[in-house]
Amino acid sequence: MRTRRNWSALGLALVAGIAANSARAQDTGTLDKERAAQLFPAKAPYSPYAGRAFPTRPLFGDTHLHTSFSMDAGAFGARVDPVQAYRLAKGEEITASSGQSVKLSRPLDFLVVADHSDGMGFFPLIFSGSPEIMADPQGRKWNQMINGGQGADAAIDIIRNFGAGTISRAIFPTPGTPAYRGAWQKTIEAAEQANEPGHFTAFIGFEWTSNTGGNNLHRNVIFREDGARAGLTEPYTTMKPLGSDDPRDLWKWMAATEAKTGSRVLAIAHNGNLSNGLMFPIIEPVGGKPLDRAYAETRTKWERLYEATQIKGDGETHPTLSPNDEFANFERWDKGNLDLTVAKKPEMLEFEYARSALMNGLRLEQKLGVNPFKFGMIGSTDAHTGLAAIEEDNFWGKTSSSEPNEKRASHPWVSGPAGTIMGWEQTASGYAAVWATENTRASLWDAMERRETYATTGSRMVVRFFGGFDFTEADVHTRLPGRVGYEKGVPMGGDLRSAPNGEAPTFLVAAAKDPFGANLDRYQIVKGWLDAKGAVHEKVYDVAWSDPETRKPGADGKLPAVGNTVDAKNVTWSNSIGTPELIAVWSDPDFDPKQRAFYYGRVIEIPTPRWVLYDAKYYGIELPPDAVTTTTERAYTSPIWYTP
Amino acid sequence: MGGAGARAPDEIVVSAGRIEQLALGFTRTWQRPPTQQELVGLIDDYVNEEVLYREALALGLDRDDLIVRRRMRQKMEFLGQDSAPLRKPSDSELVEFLRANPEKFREEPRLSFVQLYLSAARRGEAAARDGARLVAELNERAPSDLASLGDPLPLPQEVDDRSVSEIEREFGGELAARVLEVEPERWAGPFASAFGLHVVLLRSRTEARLPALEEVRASVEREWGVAQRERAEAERMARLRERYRVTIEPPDDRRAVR
Repeated sequence: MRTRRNWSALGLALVAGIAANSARAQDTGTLDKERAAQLFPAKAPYSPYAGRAFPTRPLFGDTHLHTSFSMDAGAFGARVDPVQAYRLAKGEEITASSGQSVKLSRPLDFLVVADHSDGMGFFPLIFSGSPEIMADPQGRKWNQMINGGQGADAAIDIIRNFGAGTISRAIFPTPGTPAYRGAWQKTIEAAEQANEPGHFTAFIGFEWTSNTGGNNLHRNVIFREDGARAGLTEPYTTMKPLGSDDPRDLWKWMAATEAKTGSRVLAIAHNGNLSNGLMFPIIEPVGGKPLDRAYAETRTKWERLYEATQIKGDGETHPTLSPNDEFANFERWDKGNLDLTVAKKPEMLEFEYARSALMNGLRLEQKLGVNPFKFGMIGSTDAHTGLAAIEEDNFWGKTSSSEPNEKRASHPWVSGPAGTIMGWEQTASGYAAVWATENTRASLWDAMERRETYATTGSRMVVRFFGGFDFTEADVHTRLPGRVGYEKGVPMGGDLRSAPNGEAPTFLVAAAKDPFGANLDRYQIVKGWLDAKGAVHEKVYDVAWSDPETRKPGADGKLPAVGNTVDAKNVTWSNSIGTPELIAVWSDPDFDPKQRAFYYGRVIEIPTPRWVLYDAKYYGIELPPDAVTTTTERAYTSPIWYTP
Repeated sequence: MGGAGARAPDEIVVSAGRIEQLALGFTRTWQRPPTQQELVGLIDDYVNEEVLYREALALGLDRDDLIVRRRMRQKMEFLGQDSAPLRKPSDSELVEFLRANPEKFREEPRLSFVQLYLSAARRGEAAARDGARLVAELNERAPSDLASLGDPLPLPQEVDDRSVSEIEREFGGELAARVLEVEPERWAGPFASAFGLHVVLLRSRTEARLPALEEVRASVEREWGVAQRERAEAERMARLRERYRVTIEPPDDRRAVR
């Protein structure tokens, strides 16, 4: 009750604030000549921004894009190489692997081509049919399948064999072989060529694809420095003896790599939803022992971010874990592990999703003294097409075989003993938004390292999230939420400690819609905390929403839905509902200064057509009856942690 | 088979180089060189393969085989790429390319301006009127505390040296196009963005220009390379197609090709 009352009071204040604001803006905005002259006599205008050191606009990009250099992407027909991938990201029109022309609605600010390290360049090798490949029964088989037009079957067979560790050593490019070195060199060259400090950042990176038993423990590794340094090493793989499938060995490699190359590196995990309970463990999956302090320290050192949304489903939370969250049932991929060889069990979910991991992180911090799951959020595509194109009306699919075509929605995407995921279940998501001071490798990387990032499902909305103990109602009138935010608090990804006099933390939140996209429905704060008995809890608060005069929380505390303007037949929606911007100051009504907690922002757009509707209209096809046809794009900010 | 016997035998020569290659392939697979007996077997197998290959060609077995067609096409494509290796362009070629494709390299106009936001959600119909009044007042007296004017919006109030398309991407609507047209150092507007209305003060404008080669060398080289490859591929294909007369017979049932 306390929550709600407090909330209403705040809500009212907000409404009143807005109403008053028109008058007040007139007050302050209407410059009475005498007063102005008195206040600012003959003084030249000065810029309130001079000398600012804080980021003023988020940069949007993709930290996770595969090209033809990834063996599975290549087998699925990807012909777009890293050079072409960077060109598309920079806004140029290219030819996709399916032969169609493709262009982004707007360029991205940065891109990481992150091809699988295991067998990097494998596909061009298989494709070439060199004597070594043809002398090997597997190599010959796959070469013939691909050349015989069975690329998709070959890809599935390759992924299965890779998952099972049964790819022939004789044909697999491994660190030290010329094929492997060549693929890495080409990756580096493509990034060096595309990188334009100030305009576009091309990071050097790769994906370490630990997939033992088909359980997804994948991580993307990103270098801060240039090719001269990244070229001093070769990407770490998962196959013994040169590599390992244990994340702890990846972290060791990262430490050694920093020492060897002089470039800092960070790792971003993804798709916990396909890890079958292993992504955010309490029991360390390889060794089988409970996590220890060393594990927690190392993980939190190297893994500052988590990729919480992408084409293979959304990873924020799950309806079973968050039954009271009406937005939790979103783009679920929860049938099993990556290859659907093992079905999902409900008890696995807790160890797969970002929100529950953040909660368990508090528990582990209490026990170990270090939080292993203290990560910020980003989204990325994980597209295997070389195309970072995941907008609903410009969605180029997960693999080249699911580039726009009339069958992609109704065709199964993957089938296994645990079930089938249909083509229409691919999620047109996501991008990484980074609050960097400038568009360079160093500046972006440093912002990632300090977790000043948020995930979006593809929409380029601007989201601010600041926490502190000094924000007041008056701050909702600020025209400079950034400046006030940094002056009085910490940005997303930061820490709050020992509340002064047990005061509740306050948050300044602000959002602006994607200027090319839909209006915003609401800004929510998600809180997770650890109580005195060692149990974790979560709660979602609505803190700002559109039409506050008419939309009020009901008796159940729930805000009425914003409405839905989607016209499925003509594939349109209207910004007649929702709002282009939101701002609010919120104070935690349930705060206990002795309890560990985290807070993160979630911004929800009004409903818009999902990509399958654009397909249905373009191709004049009927969609499968169970296909989901609308979406609500969203953003998840990195959390701010409170530690007593 | 009698017919084949009547024909003068074709010659198959297994050269020393070929034998070496066979031995090398064996070594790669088995991690040791072949024995004498194994080598004889390899050569014998090679001869069998060559015979069968030639017989298959004679029977035209390659023609309707999808795998063979794809492989042959691939080889031709590889051949094409190899025959046109990317050379280093000269500076004069790059300058010429730059001039011939100004749209690829032209630097857009860049603008520095201040924007004060007027929220339609907050002000409703009054937003446009408020904006016009604000413009008039600001032009009479320069304000000092910009931070207290307009409505909150988490976008920069002061936009520093950004290209027109960057501004379009950030604000949407007509704002960038309108700011491009206004007189500098005078408040103007209100103009619509994707969010609402804005009153603006243009501080400075850098006109569009074609940069010198040195400023954009890397991207000119890249685009030159892409254009070269595309042209070479298209030319090669066109040359080859000149050798053929292509007839396309439309199917009787036209609906079937839709």
